[in-house]
Amino acid sequence: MNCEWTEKISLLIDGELARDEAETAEHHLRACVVCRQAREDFLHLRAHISAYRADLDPRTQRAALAEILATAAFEKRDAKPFVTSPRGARFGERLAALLGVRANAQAWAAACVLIVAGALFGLILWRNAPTPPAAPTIADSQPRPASEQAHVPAIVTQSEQVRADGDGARETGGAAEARPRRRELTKSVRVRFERARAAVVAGETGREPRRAETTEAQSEAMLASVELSPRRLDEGAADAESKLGREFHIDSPLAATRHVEQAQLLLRSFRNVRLAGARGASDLAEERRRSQKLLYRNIVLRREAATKGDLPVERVLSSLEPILIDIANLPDRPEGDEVLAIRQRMERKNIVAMLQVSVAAAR
Amino acid sequence: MTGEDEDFANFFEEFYPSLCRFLECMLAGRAGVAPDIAQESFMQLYRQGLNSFAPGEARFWLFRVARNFALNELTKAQTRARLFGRVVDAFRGGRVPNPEQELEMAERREIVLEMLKSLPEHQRAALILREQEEMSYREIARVLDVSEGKVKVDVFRAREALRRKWGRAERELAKTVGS
Repeated sequence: MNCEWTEKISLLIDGELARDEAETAEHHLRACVVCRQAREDFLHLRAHISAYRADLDPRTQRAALAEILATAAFEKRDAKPFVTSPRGARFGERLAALLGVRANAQAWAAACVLIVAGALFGLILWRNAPTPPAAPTIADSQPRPASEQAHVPAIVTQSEQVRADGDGARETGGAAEARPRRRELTKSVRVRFERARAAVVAGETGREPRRAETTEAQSEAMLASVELSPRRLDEGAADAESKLGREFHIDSPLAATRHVEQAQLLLRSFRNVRLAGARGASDLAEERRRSQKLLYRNIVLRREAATKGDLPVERVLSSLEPILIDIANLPDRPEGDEVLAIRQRMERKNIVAMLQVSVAAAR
Repeated sequence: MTGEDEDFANFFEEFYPSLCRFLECMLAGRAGVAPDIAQESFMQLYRQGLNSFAPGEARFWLFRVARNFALNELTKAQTRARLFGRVVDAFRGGRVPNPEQELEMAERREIVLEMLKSLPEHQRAALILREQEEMSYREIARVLDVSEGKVKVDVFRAREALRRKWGRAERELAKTVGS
């Protein structure tokens, strides 16, 4: 039961008729019941089809964008390593690469110390050409010729300063004197670097220095935990380790090890955030931001690992990814339940322990 | 993020939902494929360079690419191997809507998808772009790479077919929802 005008009615509701044609069609509508019914049907159809909403998951959407940008960066980077870390970190990595040392924070921090030592050594040599000075890391425990005394105190002061800044009360007292100074210094510089990096991160978001101090404390905790041998890690870690096996290694250590370290820091920080009290829920903004940043790199590294067929790395990064996505997608003022749910998932997966073992094994 | 990436991210946020909707309707009955194709389409757009398009043109290009992917999917000419590894498949779910709302939404969605599924692909694409994206016939013609005359005929035939086949059910649903 159609009228020859019905097609015009379709065009009319689409606004595809010229003005005079539209007026004629409107005029026809007033007289034709068949066309009025057709228009009603078409408009009902329109209402239903246009009311359809896609089955969207914001996490899928965000992950899609992250993956596109990360893949694009991966494709663009050519010979350049994919690094989104602060400038200091890049410098450290370049330095480590330059020196050919195994790429982890400890190694390049040691390299930094050696270079600083070398520079100071050169300075002393330049000022006191005939006198062979001791390296600054051990200079303060060696008797020194009188001619050197004028210059060395500055060095000692500097190394003491680094030690005091970094290790705080933990390393003061007579017992510490007995420990090899080089080891202390290396560790201290690492702590110092972590703090500087945290300060850079805090500066980027305009946060208070308090945040940097918190991160330093967490760095301390992480460093302390890394000092443990895998045998002394907690039961969960041992379990995770046995799953991963001794063969665990990271092929792109420059990127992967540092990434896992940072993720570990983030998850510890997230785990320790208090939801009530002085630190309000809004403080999670920092964790969210860091999580978003890490997520990009995680996707790239996971894909890289998948391409290389590096299953252990891929597995670790795959376990990490949903947690990063969850944290990155928390609302501005997350409810306690949401945060707890993520923490519980972290606990179930024993994710922090797994990362810890990965880092320890990669060293 | 570079300026280019930021532009892209803004464009993505604006059109991802509608592209997913378009794809879901095009691929009625193939649950879960739309986000993959949407992502792949946006990836193509990124590679093409958002800035290489005249203002407003990128959207048409995007829908054309997505439709071609959807056609591939429909004809099964290509497997899913071309699609990205899915990042969060296992972690879907999240917020649960109120059961009544969910049921009503599910019913409506099902009816729309059933209706669209019954149409030939070219009519379906034209009608979806018209009703959901509110594109003009000229714009639809560009997306589908056909003449405006064909779009005009396809849209009308699609409406007529749905009206004949589903008109009664659709009216009943409208009454139920309206009451």
